[in-house]
Amino acid sequence: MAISSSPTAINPAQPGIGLRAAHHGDVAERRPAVGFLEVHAENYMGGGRPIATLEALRRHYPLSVHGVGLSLASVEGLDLGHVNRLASLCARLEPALVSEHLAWNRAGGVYLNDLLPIPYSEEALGVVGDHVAMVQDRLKRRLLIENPSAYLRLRASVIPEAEFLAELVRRTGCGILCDVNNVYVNSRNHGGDPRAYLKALPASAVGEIHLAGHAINDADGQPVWIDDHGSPVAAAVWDLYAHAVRRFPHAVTLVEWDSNLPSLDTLTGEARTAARIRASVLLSELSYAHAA
Amino acid sequence: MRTLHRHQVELRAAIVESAFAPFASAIVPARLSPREQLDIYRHHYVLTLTEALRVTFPVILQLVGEACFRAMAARFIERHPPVAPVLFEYGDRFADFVDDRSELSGGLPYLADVARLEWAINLAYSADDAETIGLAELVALSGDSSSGALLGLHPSVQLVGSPYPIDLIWRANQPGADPAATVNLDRGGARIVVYRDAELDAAWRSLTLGEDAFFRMLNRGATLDEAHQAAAVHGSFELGSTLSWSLNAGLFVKLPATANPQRSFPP
Repeated sequence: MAISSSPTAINPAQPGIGLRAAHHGDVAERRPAVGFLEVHAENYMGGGRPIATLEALRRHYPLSVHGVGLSLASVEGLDLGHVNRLASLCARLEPALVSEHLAWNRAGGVYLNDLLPIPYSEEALGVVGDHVAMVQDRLKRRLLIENPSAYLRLRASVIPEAEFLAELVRRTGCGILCDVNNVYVNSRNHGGDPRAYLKALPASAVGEIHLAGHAINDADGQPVWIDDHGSPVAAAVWDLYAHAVRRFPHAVTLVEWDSNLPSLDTLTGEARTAARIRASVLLSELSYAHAA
Repeated sequence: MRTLHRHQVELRAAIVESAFAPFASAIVPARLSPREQLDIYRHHYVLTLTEALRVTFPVILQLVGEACFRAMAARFIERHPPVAPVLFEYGDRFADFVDDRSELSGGLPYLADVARLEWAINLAYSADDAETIGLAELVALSGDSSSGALLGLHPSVQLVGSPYPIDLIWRANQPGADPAATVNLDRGGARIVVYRDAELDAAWRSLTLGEDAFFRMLNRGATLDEAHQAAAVHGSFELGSTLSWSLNAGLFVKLPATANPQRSFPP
């Protein structure tokens, strides 16, 4: 029997899903028609069943390894042990994509289990730029860096986020993972035009788009939009996604769902919706081009 | 202190210690107060770490109930915040914490040992992979001098002991167990080996006194012969049958010639 090589390239026409442990069995058994699987790197840094499941699935799907623990913006430096664990995982899985966040979560030796905001400043650009470059050197591959959701803004921020990301791309050669739900949530919480944000990103650097649901909570009578990945993608975020597809037609798309995990069918249904919207946006672009 | 460093020290204090005041001045005024904005982060931190502990210690949750578990988790998170981003590795000090705070465990003297068993199960599930050996490999490995052979234990293997019947307590608190069943604490203690089985599930088995001595000796780097001698003090020990089930269960790995297999387990 010939040994087939694993699929390593992602077709942007086929959106992927975030793979969570509760769906491992279903995905392995039913092999849904999705373009790729994305996993949180830290959940696969041990031995046993999780990594064995993924090694079996990678024969059928391209993988994307999405880290949450590198703390690229930590002023106290990278945890090199953790960078090495990520490098070993990537060597083992040979994913099509590796991504992380424009955020930090480690200070004074404590891991804060969140993606915390930084002030967008020249000082932060230096720190994040150095760390992205170090990780890319260690992994010998390009990282995609995701725009985070944030529930506060910092006085020390002097550079718009999209410009900060553009400068990071210029300095390090990294790519961008544009999470349109985060762009939307931030615009609701802090103001700003989400379409203008998409316009300000360097289009050629955007390699992936994230979609997820959010919640609208109440804080003392004030609505607050929370990026909880716990519900279907909101209508307004699908609208913004259509703009993102027009702007980043080559980017691959991923639907994430982390809390209140639905059935696999519901999740793959969201991925099919993304595929439909993407195709119809690109087709309409084509007809405009012909009409012009 | 530069801005970024100060921000990270202060936001950490807000999240870990609820010290909101220092960071408040760094925040742009908004519809929500700084306190409300920081609460979103603090809440997420406690909630997600509590959830991680809930996944690792389901029997403790079952034994003490939701409200008590949440209070225990909150105190634990405050006392022992995580130091690394791999969440299935969070909770290594939970059993000791339970031990030191008997007022939290509602007078359940066995609670800390049940937590030790659950932690061992968690470690076994996610321990590094290693190639196991069977009887044929053991024979080939030992050659003419089987008595001097060194046997390595699989990284998932752990020994847990307790003066309480934690094996029965664990079983009585599994999903589907008879809720009316009771455990007689007078039955006495338990000696348990925890490991990962061929289906990659965490599994455990109760040990006789002799078997417990056998595995503890091997774990300290003793040869098969030395471990056998220590185990044989307990009359019922039978090397053949112990090796048979433990090789089948995948407890042993081949050691490199130069290996020093010293590992330390809690006594």
